[in-house]
Amino acid sequence: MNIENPQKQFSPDEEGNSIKKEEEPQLPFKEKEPQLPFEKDDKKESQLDNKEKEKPAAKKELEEKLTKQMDIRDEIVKLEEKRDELEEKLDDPNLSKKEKKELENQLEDINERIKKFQKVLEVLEKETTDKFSSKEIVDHFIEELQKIKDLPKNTEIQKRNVFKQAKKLLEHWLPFGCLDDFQGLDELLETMEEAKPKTMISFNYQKEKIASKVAVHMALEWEKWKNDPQEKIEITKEFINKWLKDKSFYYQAAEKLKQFKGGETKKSEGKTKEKPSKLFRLDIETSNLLKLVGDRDKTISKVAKILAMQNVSYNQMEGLVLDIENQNIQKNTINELLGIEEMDKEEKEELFKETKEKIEVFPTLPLKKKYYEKVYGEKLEEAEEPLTEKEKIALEDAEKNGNLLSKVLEKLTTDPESQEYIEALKKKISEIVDKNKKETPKIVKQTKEFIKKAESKDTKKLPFWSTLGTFAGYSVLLLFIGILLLEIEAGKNVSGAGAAVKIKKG
Amino acid sequence: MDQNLLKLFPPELQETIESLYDVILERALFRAYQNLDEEKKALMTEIFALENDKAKENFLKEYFKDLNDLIIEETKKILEEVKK
Repeated sequence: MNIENPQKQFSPDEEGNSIKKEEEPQLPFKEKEPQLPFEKDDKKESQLDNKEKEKPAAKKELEEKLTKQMDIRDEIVKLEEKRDELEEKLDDPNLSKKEKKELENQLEDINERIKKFQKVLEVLEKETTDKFSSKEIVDHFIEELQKIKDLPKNTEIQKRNVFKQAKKLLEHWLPFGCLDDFQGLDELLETMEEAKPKTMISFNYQKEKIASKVAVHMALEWEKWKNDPQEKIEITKEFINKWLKDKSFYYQAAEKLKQFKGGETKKSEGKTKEKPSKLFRLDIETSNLLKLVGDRDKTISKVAKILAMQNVSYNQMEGLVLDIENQNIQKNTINELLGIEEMDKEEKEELFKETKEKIEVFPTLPLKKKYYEKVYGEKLEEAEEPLTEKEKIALEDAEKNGNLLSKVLEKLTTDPESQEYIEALKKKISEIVDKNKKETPKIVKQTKEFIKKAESKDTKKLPFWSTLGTFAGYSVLLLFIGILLLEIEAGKNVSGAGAAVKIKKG
Repeated sequence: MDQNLLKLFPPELQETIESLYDVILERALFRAYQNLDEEKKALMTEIFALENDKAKENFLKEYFKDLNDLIIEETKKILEEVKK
């Protein structure tokens, strides 16, 4: 089979017909990464050749097929990265019309190529599952997982390598995850967590996005996943609660944050009442935001909607939907589910197809602009108790919020491991600051100095302060740096939480 | 940046956060400035050459209304890089 261009053999279009060669996306030669456990290492070629000869032909064929799929997925990742770059460039307001048009054309071309690769992948995946037994396929991935488990994990670099390899294997395993009720992927996530690199700032975020992706795949593969529907719902729910709640850094950090609630106790008519202070409201807000970053509720919502598109009734998945904690998300999900249920078969199929296309093959990592826009745009509105505008910009509350973070941070920054993390963060920020120092007009610098000078005075005496709104931007900055630092302590606790939820084998 | 708030963060990070905020503020201001037409840009230069804080304040209130949004956007962009 031709690795460079798998379509020379399969060449399917959407309806399974052949497509013209000139329209086919070309795969470049695969660059071998020496440390990939599931790829051939050139240096050991002669040894492997002997081993290869010993392998049964069927096993070799399966490995070839899966390796080919990995190559195609790698190519999709590269295209997606290129697409993200182009999207960033398109945001530049200084682009001429001609440049914009050119970029849009390139973007369209890349999207087309991604779609074609995905279609080829679908065909290859189907061919693999048709020809080989579930056990053969699962055994192959278990072997690859074992190779990752056997990798050394003593240094930070080695741990990062384990994470990288695990992430890559997970991406390739996803389409076949249903063959063992996603147990293997669950174990892979465990392996990832066991080798958590302390200095990898985005580890928790990446891990949770991956877990969310697996959960969404559980829904996408519903028809392919041979198991009792109710059992499948239970497995999905348990997986989500394990990785996006019990073992979620964000969820657990949010819970911890609530402990600093600072509520005021008020005696009234002989009864003691807990009156939430402004500080408490801010805690709740930050806590809600943290939970939303963790994406548990959003993931359940997404899963439920994908299931509804595949004719799973609301009654069947009620337990899952009612598990959504954020009342706004739950309410909106139920409304959307009712809307989907009212659709006819064709409409549902069309919606499912569109949804599947929109969901990328891989998590978009590292963080993308879209993500933050999501969190700080619509997410604030989704929070259960959104602050009023006045509350958001109140200096008094800002100071309290800073105090709150400070209390948490003070606790965090006492152990040596935290210091290591803070140093890494500091270094990273310094690099970014240096990189972003640009020449700007003198008037911009003058204005900046004017604002900074004003802010350094007693801000309460500055009537324009809130109009300029510098607090809001600063607050986001504080919150995020706080979250980054919180990852140290809460991350450790989450890792040690030892969630009892286990994925059941059907 | 309010020094009282800044002091609440770990001492070894304070200077770094301050320089980060400096970059964010400058980038946001640059974008806000670019959005002005030539006439307003000239007016701004004139006003900021004066020793009149009230006039500067009024100009910013009038023409830099979206500065808050721009600061948030720039904060997001920069922190996105930090997370990479």
